Amino acid sequence: MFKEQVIKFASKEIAPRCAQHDLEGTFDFQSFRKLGEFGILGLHFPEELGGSGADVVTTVLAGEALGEAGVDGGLTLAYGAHTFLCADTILSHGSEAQKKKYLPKLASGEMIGCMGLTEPGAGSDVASISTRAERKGDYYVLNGTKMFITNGPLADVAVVYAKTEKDLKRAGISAFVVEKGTPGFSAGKNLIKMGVRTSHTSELIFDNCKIPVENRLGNEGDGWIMALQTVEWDRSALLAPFIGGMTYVLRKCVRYAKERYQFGRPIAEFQAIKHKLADIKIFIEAARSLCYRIAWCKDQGRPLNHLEAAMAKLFVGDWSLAPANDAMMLHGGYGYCHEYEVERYFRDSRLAPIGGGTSDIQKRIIQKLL
Amino acid sequence: MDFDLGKEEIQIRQRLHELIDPNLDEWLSGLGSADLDHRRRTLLSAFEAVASSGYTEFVFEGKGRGAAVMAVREELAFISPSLYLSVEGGNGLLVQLLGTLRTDMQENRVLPSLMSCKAVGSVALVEDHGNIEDNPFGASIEEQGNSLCLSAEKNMVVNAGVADWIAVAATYEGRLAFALISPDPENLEICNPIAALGLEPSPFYQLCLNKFPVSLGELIGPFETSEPLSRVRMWEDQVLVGASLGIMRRAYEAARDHSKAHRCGGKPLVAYQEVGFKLAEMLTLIHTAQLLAYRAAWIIETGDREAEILVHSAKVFCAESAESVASGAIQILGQMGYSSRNPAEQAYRDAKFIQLGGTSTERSRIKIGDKLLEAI
Repeated sequence: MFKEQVIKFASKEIAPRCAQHDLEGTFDFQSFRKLGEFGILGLHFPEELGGSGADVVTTVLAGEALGEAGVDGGLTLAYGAHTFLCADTILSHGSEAQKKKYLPKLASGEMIGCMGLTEPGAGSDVASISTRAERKGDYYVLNGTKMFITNGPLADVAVVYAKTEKDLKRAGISAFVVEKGTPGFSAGKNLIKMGVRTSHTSELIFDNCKIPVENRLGNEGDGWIMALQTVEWDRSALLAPFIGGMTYVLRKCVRYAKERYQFGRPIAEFQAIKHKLADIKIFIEAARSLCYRIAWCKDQGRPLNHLEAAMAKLFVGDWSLAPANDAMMLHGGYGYCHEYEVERYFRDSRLAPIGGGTSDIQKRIIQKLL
Repeated sequence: MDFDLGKEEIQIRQRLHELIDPNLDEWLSGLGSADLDHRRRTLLSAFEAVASSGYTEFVFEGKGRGAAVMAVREELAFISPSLYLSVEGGNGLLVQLLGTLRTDMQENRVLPSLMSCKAVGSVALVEDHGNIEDNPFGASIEEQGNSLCLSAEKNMVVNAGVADWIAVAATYEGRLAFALISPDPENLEICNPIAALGLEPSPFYQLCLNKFPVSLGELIGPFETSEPLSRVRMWEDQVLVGASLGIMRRAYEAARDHSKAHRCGGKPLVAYQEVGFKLAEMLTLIHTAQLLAYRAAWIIETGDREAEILVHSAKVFCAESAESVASGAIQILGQMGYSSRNPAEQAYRDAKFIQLGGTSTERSRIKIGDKLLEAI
């Protein structure tokens, strides 16, 4: 099975390197390239653009497999931002020339991608972004700052959202491809984070940055809908490694519970331990149901499934906190130590209810759709 | 993940409402009557409506499969959890049991009337100690001359007081067996209705049998292992999962409708984040529970080795979500929610049974834990 092949590959080639990179807070370029070589980074791209033409469910399976193999949340987040938030936007909305120029290199990992949407003053309230793109003949001039950009300091290519009509809200947003080294474009320093430490996050700064018109994605004013379309990936493929990671942690919990003796017997024999194992498993199965449902709907050509997407994000974010905590508690003092990896998962998982729209934002979306 | 409702499921769900809703109050009153004959007549009237909707053909006769069956069950439980339990926890469970383990006589004589809901069925499992898996049944089938007789004390038996057929789990020659009996009031020492916390009118009875005659043809088993009992438990858990989906939706919809209709400070309650966010959490739980329940129902039919874990996971998640959603609904409905016969307070009480009925949530967790320890 494809999923098992991915697990085997990632367990051997990538997972053994994660702990050290997490400890040092460094991005693992070698593993990222290996993801490209194995075909993960461009899995759903057409073959002629360096991909395998996989459907969304298969793509989600691959992401879950990375988590199950023990790949850390930082690297899988970097993969998600690269493949779904950056490359997929080019795939879905780019011109043929843009696709040919960027996608094969993004699929192989030769280029790293990121998406610049969030700003210091605008996150989920996308319509309030203030980065400006003023048209001047055959180029645009970008000015503004993006915030919390995954892969920001590393990216060779960024999909950036900016206002081409400052007085319009949603209809004034457009998207652009900006390449590293473009004059006026720079990235801030890597932000030190609680978790997902191997993914690098920074500001993107645009200071009179001149972008050729041919770097615009789609038409002026199409940016809003492009940003919305990333949501389904955000709520399925980006969640999948996280859910897979919980399976990885569950296996560690089971093995530890069998090996750890207290009061003359393995702690696995205590009911309270079995209950913790069960609660982690129940969360995994519930979360998988939601995640694969979103993927399946996307495969059926049902775009912008906002209600289900928001519910999936809300559930996986909020309901994962207790089982992640259970996993650490089950390991006792060892769980608090880096060596056992559970604390890494605990830190990484804390991003789930925050990144890509906080849980409160998801509730707000659901509230509006009731 | 194709869990969208098909045309047939939608039709059955609509028909259930058309046929049951206009008579529901009268039927619920009749099902709570002290007169067992009246109860039985009422139940058969309600059963007729359920059958006319296409439900029995779809669910009992195998026309529907997996997730689609669960979606249809959910709707009946939404309409009336008590009636649902009589249909599924009584007839449905006995149909499953006979459908899998029957003899020819039972197949020809009993099964058709139960499948079409023209007769009332019941399965008696639970005894005083509650845990029927680790303790041998106190109920026993013994030889008396050339015939067999059954002695049993069973609790929380759905439909027992009004049933045409009851399968009683018991020990026979040291092994598990079921005696399929057709109750005769003269031989039933006690068959009392049990007043319960929820699921009104209560479909539960206490059943006491003393040397009740059983013919060999009425014997199901004996079995060399307890596997058939585990199977019955799994069906029962599935029935309760269906109940939980209906129960939580009922509570949620009452709260949602109230929050839209009731205004406070010049705007509807739902416009306040305290209310709207709570409803969002409730809806998320319902949606997640539905997907997990549908997936569990589907995976059972595939024979996947993960099926048992998934069924237990669905049972725990759905049962606990039902209580959580009902509690949230009461909070939103305020005093109205706390008042008797409000759907939210009913759901809150109903949900408790889902947690302790069948495989309790505690035992389900132990089973999931054991399976994980075995597999990893």
